Amino acid sequence: MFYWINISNDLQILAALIAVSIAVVAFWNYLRIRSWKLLVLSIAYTMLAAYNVIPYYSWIDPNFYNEVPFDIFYIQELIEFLAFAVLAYIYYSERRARGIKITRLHWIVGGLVVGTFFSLLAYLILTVGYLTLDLGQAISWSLFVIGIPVLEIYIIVSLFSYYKGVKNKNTLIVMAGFVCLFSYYLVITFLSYLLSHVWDYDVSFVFALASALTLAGYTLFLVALLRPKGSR
Amino acid sequence: MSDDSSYRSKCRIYADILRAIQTTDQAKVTYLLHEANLSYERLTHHLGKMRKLGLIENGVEGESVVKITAKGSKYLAEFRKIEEFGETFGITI
Repeated sequence: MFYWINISNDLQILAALIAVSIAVVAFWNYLRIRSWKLLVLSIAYTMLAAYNVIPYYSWIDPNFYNEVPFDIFYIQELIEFLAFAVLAYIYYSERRARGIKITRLHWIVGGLVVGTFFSLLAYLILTVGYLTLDLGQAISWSLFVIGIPVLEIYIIVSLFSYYKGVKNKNTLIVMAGFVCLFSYYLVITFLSYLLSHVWDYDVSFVFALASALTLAGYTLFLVALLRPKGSR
Repeated sequence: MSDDSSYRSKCRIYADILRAIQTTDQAKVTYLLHEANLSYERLTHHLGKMRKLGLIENGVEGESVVKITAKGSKYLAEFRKIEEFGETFGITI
């Protein structure tokens, strides 16, 4: 169990380092031209780094996962939620500036995707007792873990529409990175449920798999950042 | 409120003016009015500031013609890098 969790933590620390690098570059660029979007981007990636660095404390204290108050996980999810909310706001502002509207079809498709995800997750948490939480915890936890994928879907759609405008492959790579981050929740939620409840397997490796997806997402961000300039 | 409510930052306006100048060796103010999409008052205001910053200088024909300086070219190259960073992460600078 702890073997996989330690691997998972290692991967998330690497992801945090990449997030910090992006935040530093964004802040450096902000200092040069004072664009509020760059400052907000820098804040968002700093928060994502903070989210990924919290598991680091399990290295300091081997009993972290046994002793840690549940609140730390709320704080961790809240930080991630705020980071994605900030990013979604930038992309909302960008879409408005470019005159890209969300059509009724987008709302219907988005509503179906999110609604299905939400219903399944609510079913797993409340009916099956998947996370063994009480009702209050289940509701607040659901708000975070559903709110974050919703924001991620919005970010992915916004990046894709931005890509269609600028035709810059780097934007597409960053969008693929967000798809990896989004799949984190699918893996954690549904794969671990299937393995533990349907096939009765040990699910601890799922955490490492999910963290590997997170790291893959951040690695794509790094690739987009470091690609030779002019190779659009 | 209109959907197309984005205002260009001062940095972007400078970059747009410099790009327009760079496409020709020396640019006339009337040409810049069209290329940088600015009113005459705004353009002359920005050109004055850019002269003070050393990004542009007057052409041989006087103030009605401007040309880009080495500092202006460097500014444009740096702005392009930041612009590419923004595009990568889905934002327009």
